[in-house]
Amino acid sequence: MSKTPQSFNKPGRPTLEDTDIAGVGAAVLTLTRELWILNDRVQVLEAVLAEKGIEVQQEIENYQPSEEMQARLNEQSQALVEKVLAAMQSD
Amino acid sequence: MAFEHLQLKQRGRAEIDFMLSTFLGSSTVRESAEQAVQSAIEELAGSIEALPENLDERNSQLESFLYNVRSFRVQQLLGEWYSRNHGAAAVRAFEEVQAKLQIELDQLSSGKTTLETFPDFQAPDYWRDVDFHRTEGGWDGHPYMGFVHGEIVHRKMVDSLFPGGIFKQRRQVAALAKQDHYDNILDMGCSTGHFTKALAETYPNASITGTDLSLKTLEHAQRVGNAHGYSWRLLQRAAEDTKLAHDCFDLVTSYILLHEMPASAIAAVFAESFRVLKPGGEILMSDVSRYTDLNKLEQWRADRGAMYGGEPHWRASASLDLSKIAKDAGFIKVNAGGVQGAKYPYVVQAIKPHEVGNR
Ligand SMILES: C[S@@+](CC[C@H](N)C(=O)[O-])C[C@H]1O[C@@H](n2cnc3c(N)ncnc32)[C@H](O)[C@@H]1O
Repeated sequence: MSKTPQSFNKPGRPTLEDTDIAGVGAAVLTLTRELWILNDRVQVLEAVLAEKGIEVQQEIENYQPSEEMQARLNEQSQALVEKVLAAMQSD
Repeated sequence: MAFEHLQLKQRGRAEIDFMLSTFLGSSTVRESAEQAVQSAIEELAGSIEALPENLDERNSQLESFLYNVRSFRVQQLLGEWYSRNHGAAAVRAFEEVQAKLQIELDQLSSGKTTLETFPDFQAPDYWRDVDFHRTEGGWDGHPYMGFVHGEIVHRKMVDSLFPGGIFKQRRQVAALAKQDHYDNILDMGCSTGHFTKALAETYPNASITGTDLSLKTLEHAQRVGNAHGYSWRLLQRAAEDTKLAHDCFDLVTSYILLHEMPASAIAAVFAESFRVLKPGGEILMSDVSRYTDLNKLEQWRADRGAMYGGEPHWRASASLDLSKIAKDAGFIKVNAGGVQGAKYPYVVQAIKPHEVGNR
């Protein structure tokens, strides 16, 4: 029996399997990490810009958060982790 | 200059912060996984004591229950991700600052602290090609692995997660030795020299020799020694076969070396310590909790940590009776146990008798 043109609509191509799930989890975490790094970077950028308003690239590279800012960053990155983990455990 | 206040660049700094956040931000998952562990014990055995004697059997029973629980699986994912990535994250953070540090790194390779290597040196099979801590290439896996491990992994990661801080603990352990002064100290498995430094601070008049198998960590120990103006003698030699003269040290130490060694090599380390000590000399060996001091649940946790954390020798090593090994090596006044009632660190102290007669 030849395939109908309609069967091309939903070809049911197999992709990931259960055994890939660990990789999916790792990818999600990697992505979360990258997102976090970016988030952190933007906040540093804003902080530096606010202070100077000029050439900020090097300053961002070498920026060392104050204790207060570090505490805020930690809190936010932990909250992000919590969110992603909650999503991972949802059905 | 020293590296205590190493400033990372934005990417490395944020990446390392994030690695810590995967632990600090996962308390909800860990709590519910912990509840699952409690239910597993209840269901499978009724009590911790009734869990199987055999560790592998205990683990497979618990796993057969726990892997049905999603929070446990997610916790495993987090643990696995941390294990696989923490070393590489530290390497990346280092490589961002390397150019800035290079002059200083080069300068600190010369000074009063010396490093000797030997053409006949061969690392033992139980160490070579092992990715300790799951870090690719193990202790020598990067040209600057000593810096990466000592200054980034330890200072920026382990120190935050380790109760009380690992640098402070090294000083506490160093201070346990019985005398106020030593002339000649041997620090076995000195690695990046941070316990060696604690010894140097505690016993400022002592001459200190350090040995390790890992050239990359020794190179960093040399930088640490030179950064603080110490005159350490560092040797790439196995702790169990230092090739040093008989009867020349009055204190032999090791700090978290033994759990990285198999049982036969550990017995050899005690024998070698005995050989190189002067009569009346002393050992101070600090390592991980003994399995006999842990209940079956704590053992299971420690054992899984080792199994998935790149610690191939931990189980056998932590199962040894170190005080018997010390006595068998000829030591007297053997004192072994946790410090101040804790199960960790586990410290063995003993004396080489003045009269070494028939044992
Ligand atoms: C956890 S580190 C030691 C930490 C170090 N004392 C400190 O305070 O940072 C373990 C070290 O033991 C070394 N090692 C393992 N087996 C050894 C052996 N047989 N002889 C000498 N060193 C050994 C490893 O290369 C590694 O550097």
